[in-house]
Amino acid sequence: MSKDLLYELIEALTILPGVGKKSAQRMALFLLDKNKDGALHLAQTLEECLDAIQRCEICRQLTSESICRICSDESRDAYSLCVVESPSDVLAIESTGGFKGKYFVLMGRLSPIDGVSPDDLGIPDLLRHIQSAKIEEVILATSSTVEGDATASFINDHLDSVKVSRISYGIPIGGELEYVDGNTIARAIQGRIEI
Amino acid sequence: MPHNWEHCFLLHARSFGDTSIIADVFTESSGKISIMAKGAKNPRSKFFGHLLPFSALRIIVTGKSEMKTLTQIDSNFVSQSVKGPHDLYTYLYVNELMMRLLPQGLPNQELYDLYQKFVELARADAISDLDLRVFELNLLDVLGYGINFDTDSKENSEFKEATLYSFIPEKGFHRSNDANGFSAQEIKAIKNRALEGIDKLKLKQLLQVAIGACLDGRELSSRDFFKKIRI
Repeated sequence: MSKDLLYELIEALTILPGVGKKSAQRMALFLLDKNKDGALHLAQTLEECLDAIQRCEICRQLTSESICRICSDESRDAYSLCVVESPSDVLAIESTGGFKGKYFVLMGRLSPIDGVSPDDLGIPDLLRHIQSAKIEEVILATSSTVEGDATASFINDHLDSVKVSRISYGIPIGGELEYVDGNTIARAIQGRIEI
Repeated sequence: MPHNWEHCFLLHARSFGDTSIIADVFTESSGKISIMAKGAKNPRSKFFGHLLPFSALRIIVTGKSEMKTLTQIDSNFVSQSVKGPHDLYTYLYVNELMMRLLPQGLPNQELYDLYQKFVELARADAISDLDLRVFELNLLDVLGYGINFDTDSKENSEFKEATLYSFIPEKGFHRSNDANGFSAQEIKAIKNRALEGIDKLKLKQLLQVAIGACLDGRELSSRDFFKKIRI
């Protein structure tokens, strides 16, 4: 008996993060029944992306060009580099509009127990890039976990003639102290700034 | 049946799916166990921000399988994780050691006390190389892999003055002509954890070999990971 394509599509959609069987079923029925044009556009775009998307040769961000839009943008500060863990971190920082430099995406963080090494994160490439592009400031925006801190610390240990900073930790905007966890409060007190 | 609060330290946490975390914790009453913290990555979760390595936690878990489910965390008890960013490599090394050497689900009060003491030391001050060596020596003792510091393993006799001894894993010290060997005095000093006068590198290598023998051929990644990169 041949497989019903509808069930195959539902099964395929469950690979998406946060999509279970029920949501996949709803998506599949919507695409096939209510929005066939949209479904076709989605299928074509997805196929094109799979063929064309690669990592930027400079920053390792996902892009359809060999050099991504941010790296080739000459209006951006070429001497300031923000190091992040994932492509979504770039999008998160970009959405704030608060940073006009360039990025380097590690695609993870150092974790000896999980076997993620400096080579896996392209740290040798990052160090070479910092040297060759004459970067003046490196902002380490890895996550606020022991592994994220170790990654930042490891990169910092390899940089001597560059200004290096770590993003600060603290109380979220609009947050009240009594609802913030103890570790965050302790870090915020440690990293307090003079006003 | 009411579940009991357990005191534990978090050794390692990894993401599971978009919102959950699987963590390995070292509990006082059940030894090393794996727990699933559902939704822990959501900022509104009661577990959010608490599951950090070296944090002393008070938790309630349920479940009969090897993977327990975290149901409660005492947010008043959660202690600060390590000071960071200094010495993070040491901390990651110690937790990798604990992860690799500890058997699953076997409580060991002596080991729990040893680890607790180490974490308290780490929180209070920077960990020195010698502190780490003492921890490694005590860890081997507590786990039953302790080094024989009393007799020559080949001749079954006491260590003699003006003689050098080499260390053979799983056997112990035996007389040798190796100029980098240990004297009887040094062996006695290591036994008494009086490590100040002993060559740091020699001591580190001794512990590396002794620990390596307990790992069944598996390598500790943290030793290689944090070596300086040459570009």
